[in-house]
Amino acid sequence: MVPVRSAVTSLLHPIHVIAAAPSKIIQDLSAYFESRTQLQHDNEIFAAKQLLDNARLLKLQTLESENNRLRSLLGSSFRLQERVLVAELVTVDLDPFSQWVLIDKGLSDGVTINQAVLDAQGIMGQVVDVSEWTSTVVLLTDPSHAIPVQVNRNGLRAVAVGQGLGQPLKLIHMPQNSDVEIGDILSTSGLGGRFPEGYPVGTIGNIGGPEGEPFAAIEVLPLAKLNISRELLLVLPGEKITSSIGAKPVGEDEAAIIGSSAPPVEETLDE
Amino acid sequence: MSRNIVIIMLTFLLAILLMLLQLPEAWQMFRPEWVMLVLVYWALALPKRVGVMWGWWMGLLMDVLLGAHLGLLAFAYALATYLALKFYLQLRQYPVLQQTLPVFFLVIFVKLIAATMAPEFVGRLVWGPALVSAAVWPFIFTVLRWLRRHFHIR
Repeated sequence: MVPVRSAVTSLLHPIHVIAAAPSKIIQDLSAYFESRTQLQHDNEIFAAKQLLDNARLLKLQTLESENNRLRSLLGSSFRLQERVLVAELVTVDLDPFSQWVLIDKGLSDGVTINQAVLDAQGIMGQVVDVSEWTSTVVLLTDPSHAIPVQVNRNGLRAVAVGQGLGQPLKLIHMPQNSDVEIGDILSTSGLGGRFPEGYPVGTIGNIGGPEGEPFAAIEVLPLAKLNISRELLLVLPGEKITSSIGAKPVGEDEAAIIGSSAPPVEETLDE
Repeated sequence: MSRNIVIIMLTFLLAILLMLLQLPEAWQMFRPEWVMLVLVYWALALPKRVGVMWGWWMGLLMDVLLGAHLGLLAFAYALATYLALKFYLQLRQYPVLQQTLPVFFLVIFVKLIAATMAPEFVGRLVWGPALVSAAVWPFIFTVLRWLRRHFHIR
């Protein structure tokens, strides 16, 4: 049924395009009429931010290679280096009873079912349906969606389930005395194999311990701007870290860092 | 394909586009069930031409376009068309304002079926569209009747 559905959706692509046109035109017009001073101002901010981010990225890459070296010493498996693809929301409304959005990348761009989708702040959801030029993404807040997470502070693992748009996620099956504090950051744990490990998901918003209940009622506020973000990132299936080091745009010197003190990376690589 | 069918198809296409058009989130509960309203109008006006199968296929089309579970809206629209056809002689006799009541209940019916996979949301997403659909029914009825008479669709 899935290929049939995918084919029919591809066939009906023009309808989605026409339906998305009015809101797209409005967006484009408002971007067009943005004032010159505003743009200059934005540009300055972005330039400054990019400088800062670049510096941080350099440090991150050193840390990443160091981390991998330590992992290889421990004999544990390598983190995969993920590649990402930028996609844009198609401005149509889907089924009102579920939190689904349509994005403008599909089979022809290498999107597959179950891929993780992020925005600049954190995980947004995963791909549930792919057609030739578009795919459907289920958001974290959909009640049928659950995501395995871990608390950054202490590595405590849990599952966060959606409760509908505008509602926080909830952590299920957490004992009343579990070590969770308001403000803790949750990231993906990588268990289950759907989501890559280590991407931020949300922060703990509220912890309730209803009397007489076996489990705590813990709310998670998603970090991703689920109803604002227009550009989002698709995480493509990863390559081995070894192959991507050479391709890195900044900080070419890490290859030397790895090569100097670490054992050859390929030897300890286990699948 | 005769000209009649083409015009009926075009009204459906417009209704489908209106269903997909992006609305601000707070307004989504005020989106009328455009496709179902158009279906009901044509079923009442041309019961020999627009039947249950039209409802089924339009529903299936909407299922694919909205990314819903396949067959859910197909079933709902087919049922709505069936009910409209079952009572079309009575419904036709009512003045337009009085027709809004059966339309209201038909939309509630369709929305309840569409919500079976997400029972958490039964509430404003069901009665909101039903109220608004009932409110726009006289408008749709007038426009489509004008179209039908103008192009002599039979």
